[in-house]
Amino acid sequence: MQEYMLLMRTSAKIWFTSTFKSKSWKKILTTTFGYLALIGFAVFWAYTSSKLFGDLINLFPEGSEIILQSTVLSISSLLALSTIIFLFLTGLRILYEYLFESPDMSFLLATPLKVQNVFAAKLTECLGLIFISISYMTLMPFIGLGVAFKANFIYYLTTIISFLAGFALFGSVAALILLLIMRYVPGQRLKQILLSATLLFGILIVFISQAASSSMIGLTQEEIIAALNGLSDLGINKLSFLPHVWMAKASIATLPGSKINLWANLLPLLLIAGTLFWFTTKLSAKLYLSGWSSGQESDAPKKKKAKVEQQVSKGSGSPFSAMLKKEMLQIKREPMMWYQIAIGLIVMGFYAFNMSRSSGSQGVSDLAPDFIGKSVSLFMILLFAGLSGPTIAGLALSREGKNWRFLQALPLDSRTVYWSKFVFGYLPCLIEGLIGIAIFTFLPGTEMFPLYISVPVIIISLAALTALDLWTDIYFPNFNIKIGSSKSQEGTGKLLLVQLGMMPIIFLIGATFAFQWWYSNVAMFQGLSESVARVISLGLFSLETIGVFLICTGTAIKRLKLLFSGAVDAKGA
Amino acid sequence: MIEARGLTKEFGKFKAVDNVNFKVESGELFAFLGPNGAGKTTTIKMLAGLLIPSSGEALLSGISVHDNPVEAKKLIGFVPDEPNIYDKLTLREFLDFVADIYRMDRERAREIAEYYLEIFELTDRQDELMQGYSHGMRQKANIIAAMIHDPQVIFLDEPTVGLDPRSARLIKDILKKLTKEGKTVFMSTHILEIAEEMADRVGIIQKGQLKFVGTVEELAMAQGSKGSLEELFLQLTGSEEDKELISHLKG
Repeated sequence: MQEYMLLMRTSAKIWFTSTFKSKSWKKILTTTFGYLALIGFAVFWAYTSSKLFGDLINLFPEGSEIILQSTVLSISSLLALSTIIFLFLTGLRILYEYLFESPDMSFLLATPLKVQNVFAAKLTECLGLIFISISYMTLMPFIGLGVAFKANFIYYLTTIISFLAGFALFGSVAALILLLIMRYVPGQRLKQILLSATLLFGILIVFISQAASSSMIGLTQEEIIAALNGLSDLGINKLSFLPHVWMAKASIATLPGSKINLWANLLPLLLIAGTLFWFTTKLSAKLYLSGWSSGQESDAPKKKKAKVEQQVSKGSGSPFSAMLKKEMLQIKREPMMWYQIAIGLIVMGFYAFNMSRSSGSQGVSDLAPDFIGKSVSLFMILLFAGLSGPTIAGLALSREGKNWRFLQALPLDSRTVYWSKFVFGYLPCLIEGLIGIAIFTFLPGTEMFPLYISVPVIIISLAALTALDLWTDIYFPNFNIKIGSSKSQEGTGKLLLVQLGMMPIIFLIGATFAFQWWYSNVAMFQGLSESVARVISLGLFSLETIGVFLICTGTAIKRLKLLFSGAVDAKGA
Repeated sequence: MIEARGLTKEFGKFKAVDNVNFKVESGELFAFLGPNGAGKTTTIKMLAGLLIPSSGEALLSGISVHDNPVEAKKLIGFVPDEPNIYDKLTLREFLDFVADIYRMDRERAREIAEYYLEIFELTDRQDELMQGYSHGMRQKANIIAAMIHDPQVIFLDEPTVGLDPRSARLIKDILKKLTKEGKTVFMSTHILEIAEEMADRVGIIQKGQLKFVGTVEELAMAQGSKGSLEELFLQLTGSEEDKELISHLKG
């Protein structure tokens, strides 16, 4: 216990020092902003949930409290179940990285510390991180539920305790599974499986949520109540021997007027969570070391020599094509790079699907002017294709990581490097944008401008956005970022900041382009003729996009030249 | 071939390299020695065009590294102190990438690559992703990448760290062969036996200042004592306490 506490104290100290005791004001500000953004989102999500639960309470007439309680329990059980599914699939990869890929593990295992204490400390640290990253999505609705039901302090305390116990329980099970698998599956292969599972799971969640939102369109109040009753009938809340139901029931038990027994649910949850955590750490004394060693081994070599030898082409390549080929090979082999693009395409597809389904029915869209639907469709394409940029172009230089020094020693012109990085960032976004245009143009019932308008707008806008993404990375590179690692907090923070920054810019570009249609609704522009408004709209749009593109490209190439000569410092270089 | 003219690098108030001057001729193997943090890597970075000097100049075959970096870098091969390579590429793809950067004929590049791959016993593993490579294999991959375009000047920063004895021996033989062919080799190392065995001349840097440039014999004469390079090095760079400790340990 003493060793465990020592390790936990050290981890907390390292986290606190690296987060809040930086000498760089820029880092302190960025960290503070990141935490504030996280808290802001959590508050917003809790507030939205409280409103939704408030509406739900109002849906049920007086005297139907039992049905309401049953519905709330079903929703809570579903939320608790989602938390566990998230923990198992997204958290499993993080757990694997913490337990089997932590750089300090070889040092810790070489000390006289007991293996199970090292394992327990790492498991706790990791579960804490997963708790923060997952529960602010699924715990906040519980907070909103408490607000809607005007719950007291005990409710919030019990909810947090039951969530922590749930994390300890299922985290221990996940760790146990990993411990066992590591004996039989090589580390690299397991990592690939976990990455793919995470990606598929993410896509599945978007798919289900979009399908649900699509089928909810146009439901009446009675139909919503019927759907909620149907949810209760699924029996999610009736499997009282399952821990996620204990989590939900322990929480709901303390709501005003609840008939659920708190201790009958909280006690078994706490007992089983404690026992499983203890059992897993005890077992780690026997299994962990051999599993960790197997994780350090690489996969067996793939022998394709003869086949590849025939592919040696004559002539010589160019530095630009060499750089571009290198980037493309790396993006092909990094599944996480495709995540954002895949999600963007699926969301766009469902948006178009929703639009085509609702086009037949009488609704607001029939009364709105023709250009609104088209502009919104174009804006959606720009938004999703544009938001893929920070993941690719926004990290195009930083992804060189520790190879930057090697690249610096090569006879590369800064223009060559810039344009290869630009094409690397631009191509995936452009493909996503063009697929989006194809979906909205050819799917019956959707609205889109003619191709001679939509295609150039997307080509120009995405070029400007990619140049801006790349500019941010060339001006603020961070070669410490580990691409594809969930432990790279610096990478995630940088990515979130750029994505947040891009949103208003994408909105501005979209609004400028659509000015020719909305100007007449604003009093100060009502005097403008249609042709003058169109000239202003297209003029401003061109100025914004081409201006951003030229300025970003010019300054980024100059900055890159300075970076190559070592005249300016870069983080991690 | 390599010329440092008053090379100085300051990081804020700290002077990492202070007015360093020397010349290394074609066909010479120059070992650059110094204690940890003496300024060896900073000097190599300035000579290879990875770091701009605060003052002074670095020249390669008369070309200013900082005024004409691309042309200067075409002449060099660089092996960094940490063998970082592209994990998501195979060694074959990595070597093709480097060859294309130097606009080499692909068949010629492949011939040279095969030669070094055979020597370093990596032929059978060149189609694996390099993420599975050991430290020593990564170091070998970096060395092959530095040699593939047949450079005139080779900079190596601690090249034998992490290599098995056989590979370390191979590196030494390759470097000797290259100097016989008229290539210039500039190598930093902590292993003084390697420097003593291989180097035509040595340069010793301490606290950013170049303390000595010459042959090992000239160093012995300058120190007024005979002994191994290790002893001469410690005499030159050690403090009085170090010298007392050494003589005490020797009894």
